Amino acid sequence: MNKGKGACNNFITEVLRHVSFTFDHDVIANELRNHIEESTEYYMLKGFSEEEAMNRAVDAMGDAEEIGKALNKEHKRWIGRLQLFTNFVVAIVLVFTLLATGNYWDVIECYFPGAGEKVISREMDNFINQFEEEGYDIKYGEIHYEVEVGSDKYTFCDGVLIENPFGGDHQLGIYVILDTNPLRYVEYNTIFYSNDGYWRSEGNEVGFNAYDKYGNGIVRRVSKVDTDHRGSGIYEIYMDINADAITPGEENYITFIYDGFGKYFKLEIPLDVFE
Amino acid sequence: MKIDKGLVGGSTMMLVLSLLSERDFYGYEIIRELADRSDNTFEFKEGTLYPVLHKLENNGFLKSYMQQAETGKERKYYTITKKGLAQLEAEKEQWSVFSGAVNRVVLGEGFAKGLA
Repeated sequence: MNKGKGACNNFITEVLRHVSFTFDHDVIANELRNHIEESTEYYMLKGFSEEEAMNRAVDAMGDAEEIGKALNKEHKRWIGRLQLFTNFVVAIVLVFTLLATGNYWDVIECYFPGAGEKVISREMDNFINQFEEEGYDIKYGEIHYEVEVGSDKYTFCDGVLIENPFGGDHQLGIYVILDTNPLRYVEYNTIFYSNDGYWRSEGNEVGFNAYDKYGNGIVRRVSKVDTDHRGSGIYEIYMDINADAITPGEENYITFIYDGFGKYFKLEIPLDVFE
Repeated sequence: MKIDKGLVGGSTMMLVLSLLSERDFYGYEIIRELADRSDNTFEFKEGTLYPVLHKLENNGFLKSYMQQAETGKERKYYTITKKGLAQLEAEKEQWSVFSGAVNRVVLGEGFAKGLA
């Protein structure tokens, strides 16, 4: 039986090896696995052993490479796929570059282009409008993104009240939760908010640094902020991941997960390690 | 009689659209249905169905949705769209013209006239 199961897994792995858009891997694997399992049941009814039945089912699928390459052609349409999945016009562009700042940083630029100006906050509005149409009462700050880098997991969230780590009032800002690496403190630019709760940055960059308990920089995030928006207005996110946070010699991925209000998407991007 | 793989390949889209114009199907069901109805004439490599389905979906001819089976499995069902139905009509028309022409050439003019 294990041999049979192995054949199924090998087939699916081989197919997926040719599909570069990893975002769709789970859906494709699920569909192929269901097919093979049902086909196995069919052959078992014809009297074959479970192992032999699964081997036949896998054989009947055909050439994994050929299928993988054909699927790859149909799974390159980022915008189309995201649209199907989330019903939102969202595109994510990630760019890795190297900043020579004494440390090596992998820089991720993440922004959400739409028609015309590329503004993440507008996309946030789209999210919120969509949710409201579906009957949810959403407030800014309830949209969470989770980012995993190696074994570290970061959750970040826009426009929420956070506790000022240096004392004082709670402030409108962005927070990062390091699930596996306890957050020690957050630094951020005071330009980030004003006393009336409106952001006054007008295109300025604001940012913060997150440190682990040892004071090592883990994530440095810089955002460009739109003008005069209460609780919204981020239109570009730059996130620098400290190369020290990445396990050398292993395949590292940055995984973006959005999970909330019945919408889920997961995007895995292989992380190049810069020397 | 087994039909050449390439010949089946070219008409897979029409076969799939045609089945789906009757009701919603999931992948494995399509394979079984095609095999049963054609008395196993249409036995092609089953995995090649999925690129076809995904292409039809990308083109807007199909939509898909997940539905849980009694066994608890999440199945991906495909449903035909209006655009898909229109495409099916166009392909049927093409097929009719094409097969008529082939018959006239291969089986002789009398065959086609006899049919008319």
